[in-house]
Amino acid sequence: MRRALGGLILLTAASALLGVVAVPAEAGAYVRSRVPGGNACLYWGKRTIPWYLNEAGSAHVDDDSDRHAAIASFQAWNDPACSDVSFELVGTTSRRDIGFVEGANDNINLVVWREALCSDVVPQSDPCWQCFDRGGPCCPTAHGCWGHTAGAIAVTTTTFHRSSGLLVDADIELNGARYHFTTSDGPPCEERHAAPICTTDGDCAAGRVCLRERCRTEGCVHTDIANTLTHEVGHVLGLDHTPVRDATMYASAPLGELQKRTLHEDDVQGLCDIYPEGGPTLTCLADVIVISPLAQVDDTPRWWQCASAGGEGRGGFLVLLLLGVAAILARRRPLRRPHAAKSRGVCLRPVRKRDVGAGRRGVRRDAAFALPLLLGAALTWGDAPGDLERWLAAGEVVAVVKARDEPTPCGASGRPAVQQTVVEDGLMGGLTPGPLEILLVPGEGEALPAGVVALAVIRPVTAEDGVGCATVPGHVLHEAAPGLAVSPAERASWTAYLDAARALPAGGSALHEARVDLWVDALAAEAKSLRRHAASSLSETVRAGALPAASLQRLLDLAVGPDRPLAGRLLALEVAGAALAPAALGRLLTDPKGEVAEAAARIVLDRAADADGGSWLARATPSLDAAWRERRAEPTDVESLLQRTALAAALAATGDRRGRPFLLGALDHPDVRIRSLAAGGLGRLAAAGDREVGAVLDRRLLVESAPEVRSTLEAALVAAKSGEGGDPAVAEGAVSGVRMILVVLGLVALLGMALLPMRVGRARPPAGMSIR
Amino acid sequence: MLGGLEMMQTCTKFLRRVAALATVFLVSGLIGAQPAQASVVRYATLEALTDEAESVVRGAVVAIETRRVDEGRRIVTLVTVRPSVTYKGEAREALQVVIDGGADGEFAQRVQGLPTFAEGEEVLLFLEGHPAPSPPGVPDRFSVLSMGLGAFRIQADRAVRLVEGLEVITGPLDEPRPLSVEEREMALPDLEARIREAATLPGDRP
Repeated sequence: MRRALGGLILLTAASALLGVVAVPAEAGAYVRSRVPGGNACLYWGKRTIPWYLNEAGSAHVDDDSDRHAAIASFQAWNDPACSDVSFELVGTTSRRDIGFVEGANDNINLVVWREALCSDVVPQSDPCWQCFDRGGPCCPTAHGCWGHTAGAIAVTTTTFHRSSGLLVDADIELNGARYHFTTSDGPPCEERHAAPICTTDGDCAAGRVCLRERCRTEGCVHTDIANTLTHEVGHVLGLDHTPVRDATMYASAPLGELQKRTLHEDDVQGLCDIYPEGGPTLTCLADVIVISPLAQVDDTPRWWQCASAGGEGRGGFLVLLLLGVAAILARRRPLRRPHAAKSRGVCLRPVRKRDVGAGRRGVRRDAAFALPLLLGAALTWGDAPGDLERWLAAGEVVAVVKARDEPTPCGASGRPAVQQTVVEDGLMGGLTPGPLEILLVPGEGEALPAGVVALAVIRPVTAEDGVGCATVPGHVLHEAAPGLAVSPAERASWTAYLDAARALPAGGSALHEARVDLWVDALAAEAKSLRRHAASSLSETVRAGALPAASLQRLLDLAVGPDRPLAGRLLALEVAGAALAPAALGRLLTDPKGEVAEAAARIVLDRAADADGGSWLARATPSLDAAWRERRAEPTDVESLLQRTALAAALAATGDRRGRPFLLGALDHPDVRIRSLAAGGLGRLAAAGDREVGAVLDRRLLVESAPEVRSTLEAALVAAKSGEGGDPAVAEGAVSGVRMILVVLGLVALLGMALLPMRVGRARPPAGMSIR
Repeated sequence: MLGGLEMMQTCTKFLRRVAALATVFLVSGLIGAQPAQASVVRYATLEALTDEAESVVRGAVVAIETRRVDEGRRIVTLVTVRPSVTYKGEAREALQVVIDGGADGEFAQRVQGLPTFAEGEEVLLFLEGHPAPSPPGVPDRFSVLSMGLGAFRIQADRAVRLVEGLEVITGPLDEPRPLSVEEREMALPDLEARIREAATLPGDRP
């Protein structure tokens, strides 16, 4: 009875207090989206979020204003200076697939209009309907049609980590099949059903036009693109509907409304709290952590810092208070993160309690466990959340750590060894004034050698032993898994670590270099998903111009190293190919692995298509020439054929026609890769004016079935027809003809000038005029 | 003495109930806000939904399977329902409902506005035929009509609409709005009566 009464009082008090802090007030009332069924908020781990617009735009908008409206919708969230979130339009794309593939580097955040219902335009016999069972693209991807219920206007699909809420992809589809999208600033269109039915403008009264089978006032606002999208982009950022009526993130938008095109201060508050300029992203991960006093090890300054979810000072106090009280009442084992037990030995191994007992010992232990929580609560009460707290609230960070000394027994004998470690960098943007000393609890044989600097994931957990030797276990990534031979069971957590590394801001810090090195190593990982993941991170780094020189060299070494894993080499070429020294090309194009040669050839072809690639190609020419001259016996197997085709195509890209006969023959080869490369090489010759090759490509297009070859052929023909160059012989003839005409014209002009004065001299002045 | 004991037991029982309520409040406080609501559908009355639906059933969710489709880009959830009552359409022993989104490994994908289901729960669904033919041995496939608008979870004698993440447009002026409490939740007998009536008297409704 007394227990029940005590529990009731505590629970009721806790509920009331928590209820008070959990219910948002009108001021600063923005609401965050959360993982369904969980408590983690949705958030992006990076501040620059690229997005693409499907090139078709909206079929209802004739001019470019749909594109401008979409850009303005994203820009509205870029504008507030208090946040450094930046949506960047990478460009338009022909892609219309939504979703996300883990580890792939071609995931995009897409905005796409669907202008027809799949059920209206795709026959039932189409294989896309069987994508669930037989694979292949589903109908919206295959045909660009609307696959959701017909009544939906806009649908947002997000992909995120279930455990952390970290967003990795967001796509917005707009239903142009049933809704009319507009960009004008006019009055709201008339009510949908009352407007007269029409088929053409002629059916409507003067001043009205036929839109979506109804007569409407020209220039009226029906479903405003910016109004719709600005609201959707807020969701993409992880904001939910707010109770503030005037805010963009308010749930309701009347027909013709334009107000949500611009942000309300409540929207801005949400944006800047979550993604503050130069500060860490505010997540809702509810880790309560204690960084312990180091008194048991030495006399360094002590940290008694506690933090909790959300960065809310009072909420943090309450959670800590509750947990502290709960720890005393519950008399059970200290908190233990569930995934800690699942982790392999190298990480997150909780301290094994050898002195765990029941009864009074257990109570003492629990009380000791609760004490730091309560003390932490007392220290944090009334204060705004400190920088360190905010970092700790993130729950897990990647940091560069430096082992200060060998593992040291912590406290009395029988307790586990700990290692005093210095976090050198990576505290989420330098939130602490200097290096922070922490204790890592490594498993057996997993300690860092003294002095080693490594990239590590620091995942705070609560104190286990509760006798002043609380722990912050670390997962040392770089040192722990040489070669990244990660078991399948560990891939998910490794992916999460790579994500965490990706989430850190780029810069010239030791952390940045360490993480890039990690990614370079991960390119050679056994697990494909890790390789793709690392490649994606590296590609972003390269695009941002933030690849350290040493890392670039490591990438190139990986690419050209014949003894390195093939998959890693190909990815390294994909990522850093543009930075490849022209002199290395010959070596790559004669690589025994045909795929490497193919990748190298594609780099050359890309450069040839690039307007600025001229000097690079010129520097590549000697290397290619030497490689062509060194060719050995005629290739017979596919691998050698692929290699030879690559070399011939690369040569063609520099304007050298020696590989032309070979490429023409390769165009009929059964292997798609060979045909595709041959088409690419011949395309360069056609673009340079080789009309015969152009005709061959034209004919080939009629019979070619492979999409990748077809697209190469089409691009080549477009380039040829756009007149990038001309047949040298024809051009030379043309130049000679022009010269001849100019010479004749010049002679005629000279003759005319010679004769003209004579005629003037002979002319008589008109009457009344005199020549003096 | 006995009376004192009874009073104490009653008091304890009462306190336990209050404690349970407090715990629920605490847990809901911890869980916090609802997920994002970002998809918008045109509102349809129950009668219109019944008219438009190919099948309306009440039944138990007996299996849930997630698959990667679209060459791995998307996750779909296949929910197998065993109908106990068929209000409209062909009576089937089982049917499969295709829901975009779901969880696969560490990643989750969510199409805002679509309902989510749990194995063992009882649901009432307005279904439209899925154009994808089911492979042999697999029950006929359907989609939920109008996203969460066409899905209810049955809890005792109440039917709760699964409109988490959904906005609706009602009436002629196309004003998106969240559903009212009455539209979100209703007595099961009332709901069933309206469906039965609409199913027997199909007509052209707004």
